[in-house]
Amino acid sequence: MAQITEQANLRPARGFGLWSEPIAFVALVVFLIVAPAFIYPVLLMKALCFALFACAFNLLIGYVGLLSFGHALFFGWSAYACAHAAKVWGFPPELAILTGTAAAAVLGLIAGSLAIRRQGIYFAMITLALAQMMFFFALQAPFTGGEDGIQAVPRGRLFGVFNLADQMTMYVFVVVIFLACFLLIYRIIYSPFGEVLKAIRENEQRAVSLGYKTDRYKLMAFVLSATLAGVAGSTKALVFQLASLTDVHWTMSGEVVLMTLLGGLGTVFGPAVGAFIIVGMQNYLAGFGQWVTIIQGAIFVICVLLFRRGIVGVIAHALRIRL
Amino acid sequence: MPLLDALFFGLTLGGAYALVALGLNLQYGVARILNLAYGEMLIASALAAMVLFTQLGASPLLSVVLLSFIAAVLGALLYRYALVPLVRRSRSQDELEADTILATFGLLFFIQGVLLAIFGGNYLSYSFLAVPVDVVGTTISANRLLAFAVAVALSAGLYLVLTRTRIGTALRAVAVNPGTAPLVGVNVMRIAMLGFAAGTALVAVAGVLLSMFSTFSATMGVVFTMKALIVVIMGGVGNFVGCIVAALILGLVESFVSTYGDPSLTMAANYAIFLLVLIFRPAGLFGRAT
Repeated sequence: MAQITEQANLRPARGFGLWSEPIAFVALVVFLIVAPAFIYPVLLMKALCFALFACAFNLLIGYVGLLSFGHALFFGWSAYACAHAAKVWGFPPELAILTGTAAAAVLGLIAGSLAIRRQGIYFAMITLALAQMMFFFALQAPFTGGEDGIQAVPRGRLFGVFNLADQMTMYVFVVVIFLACFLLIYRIIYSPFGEVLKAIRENEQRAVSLGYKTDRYKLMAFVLSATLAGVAGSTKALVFQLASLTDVHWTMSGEVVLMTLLGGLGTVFGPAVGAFIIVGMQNYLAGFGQWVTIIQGAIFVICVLLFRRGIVGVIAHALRIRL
Repeated sequence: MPLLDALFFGLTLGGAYALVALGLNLQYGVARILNLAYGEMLIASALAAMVLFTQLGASPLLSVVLLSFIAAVLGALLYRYALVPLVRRSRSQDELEADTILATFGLLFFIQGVLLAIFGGNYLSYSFLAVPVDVVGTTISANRLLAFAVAVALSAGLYLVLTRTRIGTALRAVAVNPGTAPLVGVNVMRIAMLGFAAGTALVAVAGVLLSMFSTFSATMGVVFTMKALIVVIMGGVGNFVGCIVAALILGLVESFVSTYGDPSLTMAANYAIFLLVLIFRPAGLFGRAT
């Protein structure tokens, strides 16, 4: 699935372009500091969890060109693992999140080693089939709570000090997690490892002929993406104190594709922007009932047909900068 | 006799799967569009048949003709105005597949939203031809038998059209290689549109026939999409005989798993078979390696 993303960021940065990403990052941090004054913190935390999920997903589709249709597998099962650890085993929040993340990493390793053997449509179908299999497992398995999910997950005290039951403390915790993972992804994208990933996206055969073992790079990227999706899922489980079937359902895999596509595939900030827009839309249009689904579907189709670069992609392309 | 029952049930189930998968095979095999909104289209026609039956008293056997015609027209329009731009734009098969997956995925949400707005999230069904019929010592309802008979007749008809007519040969030529088909005078765009429209007509037929004995809700389209995809990929994309064999295998496996194993395992068994095929025989049971 090469050439899936616009190659807006291939140009070497010069002048103002060199500063576009740091400036946007500072703007993001300022927004996250100011936002709780205007927007309900739980909504912001939800948006941040999805933003992280979308960024993790983007690492795979935007920088390796692999379209996964089963990322809910990692998001949902990490939420289950985190919720189970926090509620049943009584783990503190930091360890619960680590448990969820580890679960996602293991699942990512298994799913990835099966999926990366195939390209294109078959890759998408294998990830979808695996996610669906695990969805039906979640439906049957005793510890997931079936239709009810795992409810009333305690947020606990972070490092035994900060009481996360307080909304603002939780918000700061989520912001820190998000920004840390965001910077990690940024670091990965521009590392030598990330450059190899982009080479694979552009032309896998050529990367192979240059002596890179592309399967190893693809598997590594897959596991990283799954692991970061796991961080998002675990955090989401603590924020909402709930892990449910919605998190492992295929619509979750679909929503993350939509967010990434809307914001801009293969852009650094795009997925986060897309996630904020979709979450905001779902929240503020909730009164319209089923129309949200219809509008979301229409946006999806229009994005694919007309704005293949996504919002951030279009801006970056118009201003000739990297974002 | 449980063995005979399971065998019979498996065959009719497999027939239904074949019916569901034939249209997707045309759309994906010939038009190269992986239509993820396929199941939603099936649900839409099933619910339309239900409305026609309960509100106007129109027999599903009548509405199947009407609905498949409407579906063919809508399918042709959809292909012409939403999908042709993607086909024109794409530089490679992979890119087209990614784009069409994404576009039809949006369409899935759209159709599902419309259906939910009209019908709500409840399970809906109606009763038509639900009379038991004795077949070699086991009973089966007439509507299931009818659906099976139509599936067999449609597959046979489709097979004859594909192998004995000029249009059918052109369709197969595009399915085998859209790049070289123009060299022998095939208008690929038009044939692909025909394939896509015929696929939507077939999915409407499947929806109406299944609606006679199944219960539907607006949100269960993806179940059918996945079933059809599993069958098409197992049988080999664009391979119609393989598609029917794969459907029967799947139906029999499901029926035997639920008779002799655990009914809750049928879905898992489904996906397990699918995964094995994807990993070991990605070109399908009867496909050639590419």
